[in-house]
Amino acid sequence: MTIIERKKVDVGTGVEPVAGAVSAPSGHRVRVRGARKRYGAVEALAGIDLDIEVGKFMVLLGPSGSGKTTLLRGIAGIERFDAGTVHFGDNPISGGQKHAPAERRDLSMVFQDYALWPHLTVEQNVGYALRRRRLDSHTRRKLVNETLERVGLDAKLESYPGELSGGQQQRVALARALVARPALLLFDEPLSNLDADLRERLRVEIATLTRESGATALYITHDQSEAFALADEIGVLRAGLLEQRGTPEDIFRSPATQFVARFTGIAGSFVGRAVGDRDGYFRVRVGDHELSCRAAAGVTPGSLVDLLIRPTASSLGERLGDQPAQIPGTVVDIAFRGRGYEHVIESAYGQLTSVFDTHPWARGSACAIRIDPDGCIAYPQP
Amino acid sequence: MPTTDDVLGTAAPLDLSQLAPLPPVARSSWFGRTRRIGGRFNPITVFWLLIVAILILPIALFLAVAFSPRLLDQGTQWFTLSAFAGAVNSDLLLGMLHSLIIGITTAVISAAIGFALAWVVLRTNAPGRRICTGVVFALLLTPSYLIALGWERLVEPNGVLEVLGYDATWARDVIYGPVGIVVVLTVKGLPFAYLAISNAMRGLGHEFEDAVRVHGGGPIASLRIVLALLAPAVWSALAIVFAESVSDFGVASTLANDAHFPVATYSLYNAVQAFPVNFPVASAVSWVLLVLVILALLAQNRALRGRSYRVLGGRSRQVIRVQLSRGAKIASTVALLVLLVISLGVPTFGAISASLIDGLGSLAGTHQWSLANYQRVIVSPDLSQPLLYSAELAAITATVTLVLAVVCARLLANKGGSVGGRVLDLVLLAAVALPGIVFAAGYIFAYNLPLTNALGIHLYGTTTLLVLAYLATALPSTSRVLVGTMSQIQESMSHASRVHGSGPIRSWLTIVLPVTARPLLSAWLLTYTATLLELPVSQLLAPPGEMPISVGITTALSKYDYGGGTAMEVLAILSALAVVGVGYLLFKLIAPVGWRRIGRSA
Repeated sequence: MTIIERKKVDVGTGVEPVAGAVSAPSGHRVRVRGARKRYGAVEALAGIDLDIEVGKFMVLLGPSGSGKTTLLRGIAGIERFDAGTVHFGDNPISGGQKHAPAERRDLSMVFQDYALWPHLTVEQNVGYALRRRRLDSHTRRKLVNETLERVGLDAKLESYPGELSGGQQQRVALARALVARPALLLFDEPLSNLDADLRERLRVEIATLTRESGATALYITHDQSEAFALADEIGVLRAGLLEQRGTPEDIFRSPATQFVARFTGIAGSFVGRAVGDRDGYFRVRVGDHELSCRAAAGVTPGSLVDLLIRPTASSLGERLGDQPAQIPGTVVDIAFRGRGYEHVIESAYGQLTSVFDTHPWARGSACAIRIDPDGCIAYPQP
Repeated sequence: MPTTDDVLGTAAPLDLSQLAPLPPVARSSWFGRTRRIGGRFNPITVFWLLIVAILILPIALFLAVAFSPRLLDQGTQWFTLSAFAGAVNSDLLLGMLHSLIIGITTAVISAAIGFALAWVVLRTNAPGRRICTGVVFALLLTPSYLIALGWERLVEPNGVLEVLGYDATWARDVIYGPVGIVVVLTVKGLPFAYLAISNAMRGLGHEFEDAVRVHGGGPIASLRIVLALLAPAVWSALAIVFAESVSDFGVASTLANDAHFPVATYSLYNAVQAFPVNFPVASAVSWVLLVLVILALLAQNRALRGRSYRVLGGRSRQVIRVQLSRGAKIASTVALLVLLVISLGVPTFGAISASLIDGLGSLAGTHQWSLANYQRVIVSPDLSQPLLYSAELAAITATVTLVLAVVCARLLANKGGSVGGRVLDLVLLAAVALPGIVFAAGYIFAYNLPLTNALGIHLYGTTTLLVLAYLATALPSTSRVLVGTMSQIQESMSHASRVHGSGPIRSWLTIVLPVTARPLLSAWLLTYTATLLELPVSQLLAPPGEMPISVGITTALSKYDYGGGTAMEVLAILSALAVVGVGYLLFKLIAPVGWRRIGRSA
């Protein structure tokens, strides 16, 4: 669907969306091929391919320096890739010697540092994004007011950004991004400067409003919980390459590499030797114990493996004699988490953190770690 | 704390159907509006050509002639050091020695007073501290020759003091000599020292002093720690004041010349003004001046090498002002008053009183108090024309400088630090260190070369060349002033504008310009004022038949028309102040509220 066609849908249906309803997807289909970018000796992007389907919410997850910001800025038109192409739908946007400037890409962006213009009021900041729509002032004002109402800031129309809290500033930035209903919404770690409580509230707001708008969304973050909560699809980046791409469930349940597994959260890892298949699981010997797990590609019987354990896959029990499927350990620390307790357990094979139990275990007490084979994955040692 | 309802909103849904479509864009035009890399005229090339023409080439050619006279048809040898021998075998050596001694003395005294002043203003509740910043900026804008002339008018034979019936012999003996020169240059160096130290002191939280006190240190130990932490600023102050003093031409051409106390810059002026002109020797003197300035900067660099002074951070605690006792308050007030009188009071009184005395400087006739001098200046084209001429050139220079300085500052503030940015940084740094008189001499030399004429460039002796030289002297400092502002602009603000639909020009006009409007206005006014009263370049490059105001003042004074000269001086300063006042007033009246909010403290 081209931009013009998409806008015809907006104007022509005459159906007013209701709060919380999800609009028909009407955004860009984004296609990136072979994107490369180098800053001096540092290769930020090493030839990335990325597809985002119309109306989907894609989250790029990766550590600092993985290239996610560079990729986002290249798609926005703020940066120019050294090589590679970008298409929105069938329209070539960037590639070779040509580069559509940011203002021609029908997108908007929420910045990490909010990027609100300090000399403009909240109303003017949000209204700025409507200039390209060429609306009369009444309509423009109405849309601005409605969008600000939607983010709960209709009482702050005349305020300047400097008079708002961090959370309010980010909501103004969100309203500015949404008001003109762009085809592509870009989010550059928008929650990283906020405290935990506000981050959660705004995350819900972003998820709701973005899906209501029907736009395609690309969101970058280094926070795996944010990624899992928001995404239709997640791409994990590492050193300028897309390490894995899939639904949040795929990424969590079947991380393709050790890096993906570690970056999306593990309680700890043991080193063991692969034994072989049994009862639908793979068996790995860790010291005197044999644990069931799932095996990543490349694990062969007899080989040394790293056994990565998700926090949700570990639980505590009493030590009852020799139980080959349980690892004996000692509680070294405990943290109250509201719904229960997370424990740090020291075992002969390594330390596990975030081991959950509804009851607290005293520091220094002996325990046994039970491991759910579905959340335990063996990878060949590098 | 907002509730969930606040966050999610309970308002009516958006009517997105009201959105108009984007302006029709045919698929093919996506590339039609895209940028092509390469093959286009690049305005940055014009910018670099201009930088080379006004900054690099004149100075490089002029400095090269000291070593290679033949290269530029100034002698027969391709390489020789005879120009340097000529420089040290004459009175020039004495001038250089004087400059060195004066520079060191001035730097030390200015830094000491600047530190004390910054301490009183920022760290105590001394009465009158609030006016200090105003006094400092007034001194910053006042050229050294005007301060020197104010003192001279007071103490000279048949000067104001003697007209008023006081014997000024003792004062004359003190002022007309090294002491007077040091006093005036210290006064002129004080703003630089104060600004360098106070900026650092402002960022120094109180926690360092608290740490000394809780670990058993007294007030002296605390002061020593503060001094050590402010070492970069103190060294900067020393280096800047030294560089300003040795390169000063205003005092050299007035007080020092009248006192027959040769200094390097005036020796250089004489070398260029002499007939036949000895460019190689002038170039050699310029090298010495340049080396002195570079040595000062190197000394500063060496003193600070390997030491970390990062004390400015988000955790800095607010400073607690020392509550002065009654005696200390009286002492600090007296000290501030003395400083005010010496720095601004005496020169102002000297200039204004001299301008109000009829026939001052002449031995004949009675000396009546009247406004006759002002009347003469306003009526006589010879006296009023220089002010109008300089005002016009200052306005042109300030405007063009501002445009170029914004480009320079943008390049310098660029985080990535491109090669072009680094080269520009080096060029501007060198140009800041270069005395104005060297600039002027370089212009005379470069634009008077047979080669230049052969290329069809006939700028020598024209107002255009004067403006170009003004530009070259103003651009480095104005760029430096704006680098701070440009560095503070979050790049994401411009990016946000672009991704929300504005092109580069609209983005600049709607986002960057409003945010930087006040500093840009200040930079324009600063450049205007400095150019209006500029002396060395005006003195050497004024075209025949035209006279900038600074040359008009010194010419009137050299003809013993002290009344007319000082009246011009007063009117020039008043006009500069009026422009500054009108500039800020217009900004207050015309600029949108949002523009005026930027940079305003809570």
